[in-house]
Amino acid sequence: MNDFDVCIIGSGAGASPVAYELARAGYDVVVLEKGPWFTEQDFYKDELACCRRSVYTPNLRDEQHVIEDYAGQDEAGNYRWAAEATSESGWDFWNGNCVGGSSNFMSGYFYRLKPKDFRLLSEFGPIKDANVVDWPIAYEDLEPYYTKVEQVVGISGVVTPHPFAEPRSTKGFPYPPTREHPMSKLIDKACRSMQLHPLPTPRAILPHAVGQRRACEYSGFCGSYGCSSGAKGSARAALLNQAVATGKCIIRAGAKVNQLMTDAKGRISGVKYVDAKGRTKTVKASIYVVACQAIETARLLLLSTGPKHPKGLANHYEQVGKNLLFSAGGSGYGEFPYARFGDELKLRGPFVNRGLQDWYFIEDRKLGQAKGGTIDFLLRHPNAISRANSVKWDDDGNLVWGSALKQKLKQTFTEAQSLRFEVFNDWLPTADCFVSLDNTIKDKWHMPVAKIRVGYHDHDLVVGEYLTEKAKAVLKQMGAENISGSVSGSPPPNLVAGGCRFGDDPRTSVLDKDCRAHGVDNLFVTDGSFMPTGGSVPYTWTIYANAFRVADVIRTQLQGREKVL
Amino acid sequence: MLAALPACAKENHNDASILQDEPWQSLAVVQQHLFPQDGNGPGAQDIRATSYLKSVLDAADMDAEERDFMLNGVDWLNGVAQQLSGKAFKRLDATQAEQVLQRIASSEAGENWLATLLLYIFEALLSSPVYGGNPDGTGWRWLEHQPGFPLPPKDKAYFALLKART
Repeated sequence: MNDFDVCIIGSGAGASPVAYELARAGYDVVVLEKGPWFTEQDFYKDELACCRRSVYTPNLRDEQHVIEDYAGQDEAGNYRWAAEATSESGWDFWNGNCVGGSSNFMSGYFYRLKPKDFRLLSEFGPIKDANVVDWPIAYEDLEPYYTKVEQVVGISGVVTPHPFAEPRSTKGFPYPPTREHPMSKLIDKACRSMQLHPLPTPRAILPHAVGQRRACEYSGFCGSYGCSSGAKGSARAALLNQAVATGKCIIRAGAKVNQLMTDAKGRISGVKYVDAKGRTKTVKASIYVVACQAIETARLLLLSTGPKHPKGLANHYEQVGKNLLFSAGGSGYGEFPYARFGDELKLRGPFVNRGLQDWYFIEDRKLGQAKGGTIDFLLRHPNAISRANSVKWDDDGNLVWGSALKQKLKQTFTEAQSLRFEVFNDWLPTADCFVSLDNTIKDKWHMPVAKIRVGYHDHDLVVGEYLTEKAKAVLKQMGAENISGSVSGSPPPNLVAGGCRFGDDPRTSVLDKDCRAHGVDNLFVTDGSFMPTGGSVPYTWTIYANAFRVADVIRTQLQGREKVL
Repeated sequence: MLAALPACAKENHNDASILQDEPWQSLAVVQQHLFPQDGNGPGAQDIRATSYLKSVLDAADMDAEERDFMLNGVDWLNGVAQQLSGKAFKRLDATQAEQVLQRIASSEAGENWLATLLLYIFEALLSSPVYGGNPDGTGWRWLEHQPGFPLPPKDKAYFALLKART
């Protein structure tokens, strides 16, 4: 006898649409989240809590990763990789471990993928040493769910004509745009003079109250911070609260799942977890959904060996953890002195909300026809301590202190506004970016931690450089000073997907096109792990949309079965 | 907007009581050299940098190794001061103190020690007053930094939230 119809492991953007849809359909759902359950009453604009202490993420002494980074080539030309534990390096790969996951702390820049993103191989051909493939579904399959996210999670924005605009089934966004910073007009003016198409960035932020969620309060502290008003479309505020309100969804916070158990036929027979008091518990359900974010999802499957799964769950062809994706690109900024541009640029609160997708697809003499990406503009992050801390070094890398430091601080903080740009382009899937289990380091539950090899493809840097130069040209046209930009192959830990790609061939993919594990009919993966290629936008909207799509599949699979209670 | 600071910011977190003991006396002298009262904004004393540092190093989530490193650094500091000037660091004049700190900064470990002291000075300057530094938002005012609201009340300070995790 099962305890629940559906057991969901994880509670973020991949998990919550399934909980929301199935609870509303009358099925009994349990959500197992290893972190605590914070609410709006716990979220304040506190830089220490947000960003300098391990409040929303685990202490690295308790739970960590091992990162294998490129360390040159040996004499035969083979790549060498150096492994270092994150407790040693301080390079934190956690993104928000609490009910609602990292969606609590996102900025909510929401872009859809474009139809060509679903068929990158067909459109642009193979790239040497990159595992580019077409998706097993088309944009048209996901479009209704992108629209559903707009309405249910709540996306604000305005549709504007664009050469690369993706098709929409509805005319406009259900919520009008959030308020804009004076910088937005400067961007628009410069872009239009360059015959570019500045795009108002859709945001998963409510401009007015809806139900229990209050309107955005324009504190100016959004990304990296939990939302105090509920305006941000986190999985928790937008979906889980409503799922719980149905009476059919139970969330167990502090529940760390260490293994999915399987029977002699290879089906999932239960989930073993340790609760907040350290007691080992078991849950049984008809359907199991894993959505722990890409790295931890792959780790959990690899840890879940069984009689039919000696190499890990759904890992018969050793595809679990492979083709991990981050987001390639770079960033930069320009300065706008108040003496030249006026004190109105000091305004804190309203959003810049501008992006450029004029080079989402590139036709260039050097690059040929290529996939490009997105440029987003935003004000410098308002965190003051981290900003001050970056001022303490001089150009030669020496510490500065005393009156010289104080002068530098005063100048940095008070003389100019900084406009940042971020470039998003495809992180090509390669054999050098994957998750495995580390055989030396364990977490506080004595389970092997994930080891992540973070190799990148050189093509990612070429495209990133191309877009970075375009962004710098816009800043120059705006009249910015001290413009700089850089491109790096260093993976941004907060933009992660892949590792359990979906596809039609079990030998080269982990999941089928419905995100059901090949050969395990009661296991679904609904976080960003399914993505075989990442597109050139932040992932969250696509993760939400796909999870709504898979929720429909699960509902169909559950129909006709005897209910549990 | 600074009028909306939480009430506990008004509590007395004076450095004076802890400054009678070592290593805090020496640490306070170093902090005042790193972040002086020079007429340009608050100095280390004004932002209660020493009591803030003590509260950070005493916090339950502080890494024991880092705490030992920061406290043992004072012996090292005094060793260099004795070597260069024949006196404990707190008895040096400004020129001598600068020489000692420059010598300390020339080694990797010494530079790390000073860099960490500076980080906690910045926290005392710019974190929410609920943590004991930045009295009445003086650091924010000096750097024209507009803090975000709502600010944390004491029962929602990070160490209270940490209890939910542990």
